[in-house]
Amino acid sequence: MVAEDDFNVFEEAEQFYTGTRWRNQFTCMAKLPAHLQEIIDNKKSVLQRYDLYAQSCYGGGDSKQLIEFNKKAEEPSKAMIKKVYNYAGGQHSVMERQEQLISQKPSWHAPWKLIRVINGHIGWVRCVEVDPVDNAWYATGSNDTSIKVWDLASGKLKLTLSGHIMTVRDLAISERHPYMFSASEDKTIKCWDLEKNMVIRNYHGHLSGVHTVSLHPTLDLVVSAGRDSVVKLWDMRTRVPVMNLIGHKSPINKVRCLPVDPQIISCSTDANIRLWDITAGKSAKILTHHKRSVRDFALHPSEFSMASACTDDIRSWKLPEGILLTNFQSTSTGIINSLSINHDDVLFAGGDDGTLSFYDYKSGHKYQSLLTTEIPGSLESERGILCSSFDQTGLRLITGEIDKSIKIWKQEESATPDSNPGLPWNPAMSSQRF
Amino acid sequence: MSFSSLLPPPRRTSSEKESQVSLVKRNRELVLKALTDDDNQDDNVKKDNIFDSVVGSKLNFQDFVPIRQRNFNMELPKPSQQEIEETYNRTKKVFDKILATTLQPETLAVKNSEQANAESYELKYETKQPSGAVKSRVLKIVEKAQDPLQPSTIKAGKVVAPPVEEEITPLFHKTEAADSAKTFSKEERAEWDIPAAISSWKNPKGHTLSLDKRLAMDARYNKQNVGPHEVSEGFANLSSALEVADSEARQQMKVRAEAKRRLADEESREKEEKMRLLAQKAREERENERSANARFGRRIADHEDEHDPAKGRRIARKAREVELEKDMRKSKMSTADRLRELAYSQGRDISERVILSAAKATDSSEGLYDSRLFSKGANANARRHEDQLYDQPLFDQQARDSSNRANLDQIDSMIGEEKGEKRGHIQFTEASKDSTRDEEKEYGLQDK
Repeated sequence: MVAEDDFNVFEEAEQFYTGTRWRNQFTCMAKLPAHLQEIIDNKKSVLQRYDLYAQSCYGGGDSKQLIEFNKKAEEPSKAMIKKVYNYAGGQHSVMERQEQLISQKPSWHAPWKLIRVINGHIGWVRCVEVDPVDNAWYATGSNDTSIKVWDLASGKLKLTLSGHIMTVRDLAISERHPYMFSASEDKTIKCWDLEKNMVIRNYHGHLSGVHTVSLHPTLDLVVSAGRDSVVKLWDMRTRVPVMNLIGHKSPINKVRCLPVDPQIISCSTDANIRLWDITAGKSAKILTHHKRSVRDFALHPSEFSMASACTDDIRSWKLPEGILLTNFQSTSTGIINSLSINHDDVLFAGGDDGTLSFYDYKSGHKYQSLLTTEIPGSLESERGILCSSFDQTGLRLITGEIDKSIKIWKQEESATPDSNPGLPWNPAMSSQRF
Repeated sequence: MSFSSLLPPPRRTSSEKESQVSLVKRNRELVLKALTDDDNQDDNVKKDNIFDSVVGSKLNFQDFVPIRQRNFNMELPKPSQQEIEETYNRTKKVFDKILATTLQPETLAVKNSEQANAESYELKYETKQPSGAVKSRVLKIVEKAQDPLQPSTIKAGKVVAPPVEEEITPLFHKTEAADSAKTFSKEERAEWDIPAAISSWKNPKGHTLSLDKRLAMDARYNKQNVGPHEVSEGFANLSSALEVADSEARQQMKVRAEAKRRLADEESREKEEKMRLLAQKAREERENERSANARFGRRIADHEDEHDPAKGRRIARKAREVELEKDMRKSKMSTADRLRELAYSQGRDISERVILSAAKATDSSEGLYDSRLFSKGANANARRHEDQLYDQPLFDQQARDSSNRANLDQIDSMIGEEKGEKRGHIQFTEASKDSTRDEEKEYGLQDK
């Protein structure tokens, strides 16, 4: 009893002290010092922040209110839930947002068609990477352990690189060096000199198969990740692993680098996407919206955002912060293996069952969906898309498939919005999904 | 100051940390519950607690609202060049530092001789001799030179990554746990009930299955069709037709074979008949000739033996019989025997097996093929010996021993037969029976 009394007394004293200090120091000020304002903002409850946010969005946001330090909102959670589920009232009901969504029209894109099928690999084609400098060739890595370089215009095989002893899972071509990096399930990353066409460096250190590799756009860093669920940063020249980013709980599917923070983004089978702060060596933000393994994500080439996909769920994110931008119309797409975005805001999603879905990136509207044709002699079950990439112009789409072929797609030139309106724009309520 | 104060604090005992962990855990559970359950007001969970908690303060309604749906043409500019450069400089500094330390850790730094010399210092050292004199020496202390290329003697141990201090992030998706919380009704559960399979071979516990369950398990039965699937009559027809066709074909083959055999018989009989006729003809001719000769001879021999023509005929018949018998035997003889005969008749002394093409290889079943052709594992390509071309000798030891030695017995018997005498074994006997004196008895090789 004594202890509890003591505690209460202390609390009262503290409250009194803070209250007094608040009155003496800050009540007469028009604007709080920045650091204090930040602390207060952080202490605000969800509902208060939400209210502020709503105000700032719908007028009258300028009148900034100073909220008393000690004031507690009465039952904020209940009020919030009311706001979320209450269809009748409130500015921000789900229905209203739905109306808002319907009132806008997604932009039109011409439908895509198959123009070329290239055979050459004797295993699944696991990765495609287009030459970032001249857009003259592209490289594919396959389950047959080889990397093949193809001429983009003619579709002819230029080169076969062999050196890996297991599936080549990812390729990265440098813009600043004549190097290509390949990640393989044989636990190594190889650096190929594209002038000599031979391996010049190996990066050893992963404990298991490497699933993905990427290059830092400004620094000489090679970033790789794989089944051991660690993102490793290698110094390109010395081959020293300079940093390990630990945090994912399952194999990592893809890693990409950005020149500004977050400099590394990774997605994993633990259904999370992590935005990493590599100066601190830890994740700055974790996106947990996806329900299943995030097999792929893609960075937008001309705006600072990205899209990520798990089974039946594609979302796009605003980038430095990782704020949800769009829920795509993707409820029954199935397993999505690959995502690609081009300059014209077309998002391509390649399905494990061989469906190609094309979306308008900004609205999330699926405007075309078609099945690939498996090459003759392959089973129906071998219809599936494993990887995809737009070329640098965004006019050609290259897909690598389970039927061991590489397919090239382009848009129909003669198509008009009248002749090819595409799939109807009926945004479902489910696009508001959680 | 005690030593224990210098030690790091114990890892697991701090109750403060534990309580924090448990609080965090509880918060997570509460958030999960709040997000996944729709309206559980009656739950003893107080929602106020959730949203005021550590995690709750991070939970933001905006996290669920796709912001671009308000305005599709929202501008999201790419980072400016200045931003990129700034980030580059900042990050480069960090990584240069990391690289410098990883490439040359301080403990492993090998100094060159100049550096080592620079760090050397001298010590003046004085000792008092027992005699009382003071002797001073100067000691120079230099770090021991190290081979810069020598591999590190420090063993690299596996470094386990330290646990990551991470803020708790709320899960913004429905989890499997929440899905599995759904309870199933009895009917739903019954739908998924799979009858336990009981082995047709082993059943140590003596389980029994009711008949309906057994039927349910049997793939030939289903709910719509309680009886067994009807097998099309076509199968029976087909199998019987196949049987009939098969038996017919067999019958025909039999008949054909019989006819062929009969034809062959006929032919051989005809040939035999022809041969017989020819032989008879030849015999008659010979007979005629002989009778002519005999008539001619009789005219000559009439003077000596005209009184007994029957005896001459008898002799001639006997001679003919002997000749016939010899012919017969010859025809029955094997190649080897015939050759031997021939050699003997020409007066050559020959053993049994030296005759070309008459020697027979030692018969052995496994010697039919060269065993080295089959056993690759036994290094078949390598010859075991320079001279040994074959794995087995053509003649075994016994055959080799006997091949160049005359089989006297056989030759003797042959000669005997040739002479028409019956000969027994060679025995030593008394030379003359009439000599009475023992001394005079002669012993020698004699025919008995």
